[in-house]
Amino acid sequence: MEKQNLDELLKSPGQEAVRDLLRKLPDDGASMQWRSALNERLIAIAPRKRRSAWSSTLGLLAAAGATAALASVLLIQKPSPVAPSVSHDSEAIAAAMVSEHRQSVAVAEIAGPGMSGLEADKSDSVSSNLDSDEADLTSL
Amino acid sequence: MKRSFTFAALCVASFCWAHQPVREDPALRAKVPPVLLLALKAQANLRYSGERVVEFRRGADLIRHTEYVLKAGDKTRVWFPSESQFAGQIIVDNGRERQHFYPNRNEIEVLPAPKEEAFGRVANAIRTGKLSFAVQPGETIAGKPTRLATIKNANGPMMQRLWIDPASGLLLKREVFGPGGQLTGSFAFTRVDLNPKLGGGDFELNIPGAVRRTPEERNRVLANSLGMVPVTLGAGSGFRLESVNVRRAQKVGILHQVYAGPRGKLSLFVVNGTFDLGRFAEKANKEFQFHSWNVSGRSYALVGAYPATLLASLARTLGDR
Repeated sequence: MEKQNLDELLKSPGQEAVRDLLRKLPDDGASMQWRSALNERLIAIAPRKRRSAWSSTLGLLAAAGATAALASVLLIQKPSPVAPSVSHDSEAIAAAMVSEHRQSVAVAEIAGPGMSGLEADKSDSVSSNLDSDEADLTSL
Repeated sequence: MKRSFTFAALCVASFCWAHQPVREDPALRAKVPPVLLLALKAQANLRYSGERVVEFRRGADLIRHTEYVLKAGDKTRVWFPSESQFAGQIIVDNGRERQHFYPNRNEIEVLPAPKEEAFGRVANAIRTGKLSFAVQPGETIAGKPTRLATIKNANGPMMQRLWIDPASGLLLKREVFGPGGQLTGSFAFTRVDLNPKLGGGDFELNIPGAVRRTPEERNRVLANSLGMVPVTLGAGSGFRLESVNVRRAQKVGILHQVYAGPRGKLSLFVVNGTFDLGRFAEKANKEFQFHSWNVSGRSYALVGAYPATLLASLARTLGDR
C-alpha cells in the first residue's frame, strides 16, 4: 500500500470517528493525586490496625492476670492444711513462751512505776535492732 | 465496826478482777491482814520521794539496778544514778500516759498510763481462795519499822513477802517468788521521804527534738525484722499493747507482745514456722490458759489468766479458725 493511500485512509471519516471515541475514553492510569491520597489513607489505616492488635494482646494479658490474682486470693483465703511439726522444738518453744509470760507478770508486780524487766532489756543504743532484744531462753 | 467491815470489803474488791466482783465471803475477808489492806488503800494516795534497789531474774542471773522515785498520787517520776546502766533515762507517768525517754536514741516510748498491777497475781489468787497469810514484825527498812506480810499459795510455796510501813502503808520492800518458790524479783527502799518537796514540771517530760514512739511502731519494726506481717489485738479487744520484745528459743525468733487487760497481763507470741504448741498447753499449769494456733506458716499463742473461751475468741480475730 502506498504511503499516500495510507494517509488518506487514516484521515477517512471512519478513522476520525474512532480517534474521537478513543480520545473521549476516561484515562485508566492512576493520577498522582489519587496515588497520593491512597498512600495517605494506607498510612492512616495501617497503624490503627497495629494498635488494635496490641490492645487485644494487652486485654488478654490483663484478663489472664486478673484470673490468676483471683485464684491466688481464693487459695490464700482457704488455708491449706499444713501438718504442724511435732518435735522437741515445739515443746521448747512452748516452754519458753510460758516462762516469758510468767516473767512479764512478775516484773510488772515488782517494777510498779519504775523500770520493768522488759524495758531493761531494750537497748538504748542508736542502732537498736533485733540483736539487742534477743536472748536465747533455752540457753539460760 | 460496820464501817470498817464495809471498808474491808471494798479493799478486798479492789484486789479482784475488774469485771467480776468478789463474792461476799466473810471468811475470805477475815483472811486478809489489816496491814495488807492498809497498803492496798495507800498505793493510790501516797506522796514520797526515795531511792530503791530493784532486782529482776533473767535466766540464772538476778539483774540489779538503783532508781530514784518521786510519787504523788497517780503521778510518778523515775530516773537513775549517773553510774547506772540506765543513766539518762527518765520515766514519767502523769496519770494519763507513761513516757519513757531513751537518751541515746533520743526517743520517748509512750503508752497510756498503766493500771496498777502490783497486786494482780495476789488478787487472782485471793479470788480463788488459794492463799494463806501471815504477819510478823519485820526489820527496819530505810529507817522505818515494818510489818512483814507473807503470802503463800495454799499448797505451800511462798508467793510474796511484803515489808510495810504500818504508819503510812508504804511498801518498803517486796520479794516476788515463782511457782517453784524461786525468787523472781524484788525491790527495797534504801531512803524514803514521805513529805517530799515537789517542783513544777516534776511530772512532765519535755525533751526538745525527742521522737515519740508507740508500742505499735516498735511492733512493726520488730515484726518486719523477723519477716512477719505485724499484727496486734484490735483496740476494741479490751487489751492495750504495752511492750514488744524478741526472744530466742531453739534458735527461733519469738515475737512477744505484752498487753494490759482487766485481769492482768496477756501475752501474744508469734513465731515463724508451724509448731504444735498446743500439745504442751497443759504445761501452762492452772495459773493461766495457753491457746495456740497456726496460720500461713506461722505459729501463734495467747497466754494469760483469762478464760479459754476468751482467748479462743481473741485468736479468731487474728486468723484462728
